[in-house]
Amino acid sequence: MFELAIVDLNVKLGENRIACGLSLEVEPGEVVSILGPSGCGKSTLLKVLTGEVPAQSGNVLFRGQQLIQSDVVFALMPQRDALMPWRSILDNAILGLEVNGVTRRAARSRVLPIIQEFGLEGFEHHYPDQISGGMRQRAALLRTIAVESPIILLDEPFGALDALTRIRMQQWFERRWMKQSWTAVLITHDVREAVTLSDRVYVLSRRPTKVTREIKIALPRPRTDNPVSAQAREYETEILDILLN
Amino acid sequence: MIGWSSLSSFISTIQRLKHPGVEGLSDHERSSRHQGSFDGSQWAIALAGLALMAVLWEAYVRLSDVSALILPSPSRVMSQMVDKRDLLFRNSVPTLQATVAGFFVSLSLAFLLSVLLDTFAWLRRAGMPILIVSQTLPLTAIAPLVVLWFGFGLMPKIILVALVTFFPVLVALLQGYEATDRDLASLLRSFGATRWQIFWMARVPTALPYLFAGLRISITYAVVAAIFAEYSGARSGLGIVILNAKNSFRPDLMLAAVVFCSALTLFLYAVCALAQSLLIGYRSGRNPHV
Repeated sequence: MFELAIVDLNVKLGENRIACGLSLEVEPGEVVSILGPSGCGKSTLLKVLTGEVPAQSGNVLFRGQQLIQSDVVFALMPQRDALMPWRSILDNAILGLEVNGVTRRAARSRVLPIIQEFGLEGFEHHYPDQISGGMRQRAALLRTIAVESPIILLDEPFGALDALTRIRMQQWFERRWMKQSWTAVLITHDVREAVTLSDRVYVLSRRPTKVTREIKIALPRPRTDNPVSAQAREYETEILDILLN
Repeated sequence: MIGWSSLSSFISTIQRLKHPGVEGLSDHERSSRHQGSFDGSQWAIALAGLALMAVLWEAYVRLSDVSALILPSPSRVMSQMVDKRDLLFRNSVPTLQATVAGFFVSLSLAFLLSVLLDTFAWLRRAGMPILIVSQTLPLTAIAPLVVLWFGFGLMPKIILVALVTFFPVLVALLQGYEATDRDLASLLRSFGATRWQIFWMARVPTALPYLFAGLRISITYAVVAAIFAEYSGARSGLGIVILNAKNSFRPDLMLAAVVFCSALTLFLYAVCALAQSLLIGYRSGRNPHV
């Protein structure tokens, strides 16, 4: 059974048709990337998954069950880190738990043990403006992971970082993923990032968007430790071709 | 202990709030942009300017031999402040009471209204025009009426101070809520946060620096409003001192009372600035308690 299945989804925002007959599936423990021309509705698709935007028709199924009827929430990691400048890193990380009624003290003791896996040990009590962009992004990811949601939704998570920091974050993300096997939906416009991080890539069309192509990335991991391989380049070329034509 | 820890975390939360517009500045730029905190040289220049004005004024009065009934010299005003200090201090108390009470009423009212207006868009559309009209009423005409309706006690003063001060506070709060990071709101919603949780966890903390900006504008109007309310009818207060001094042709005593009024305003402004720096003024780099 698929962890997440979107079946024949139609979304309208006002007069604009955003998605038209969009279908895709995500298997457990899989990183699935969604690539598409800018403004094609990738972010709106995430909002459908978080329940912020209603679907006109079609189904969103989580483990075979209607998402709307189940009380499961998918943890979102937004494009910009959206950390609260008035909260310490630790207190930012527990935000999702706190929203769900966990007391601050309990939430802190749940998050503290994993803070070191995110390279944030020693910075728990720092504030967002005291740490680097990469650390802020890891803190934002920690905040998303901390709610222990079955699927994490990453909305261009490394897009705001400089090129070098982005590569380091991708390396770090791949290593963490190889240990933990998060199920993740990754929205990106970076073809290389999609090829590097995902098991499968969905390429979306312009608005109203639907899936134009599904590409399985059959490359061995870890992929980020080595220079980009010839096969990876082939995938990149193939995807760019679809996107540009 | 739980109560204490949540209190202290609340305090550390608000201590961390900062003005959203000053991100990305160096520490030096931040400190110079930080309103209300003057460094020593700024104070020295301001005081020197005041002293120069007083000296020129004093010289003019002495050289031109103008009557003290028309233009009293600064030294005469100062000696009035010393001679009549009992009267002035005694009458500062009710003025201060009216100002502070009115200010708190205004603050509470503005917050309650801000919550309602922030929650219900239709209320904002319907209510804002009425609130703006409330700010167009001329104080000189309203004050005697409010005294007529509510008597010579504290009540009309509280009402007038609140009427004058609540609007800047309300506008500041509403604008502060609007400044909330949209991504942060989406994120909280994705965690399943209720509207109310988003309001308290994101909107209110974002609005706090704006609130303080509004408070500092309001507090400078507050004393003036209280004085004017007293002027229109009261048993005691600095406004009454000014009124009596005017009626007995004593400009020196009037000016002495005026100095007390401004001192009162400066004091309240300083309290506001202090509260701001205690609650949200600490910048990351100089916050040793973290």
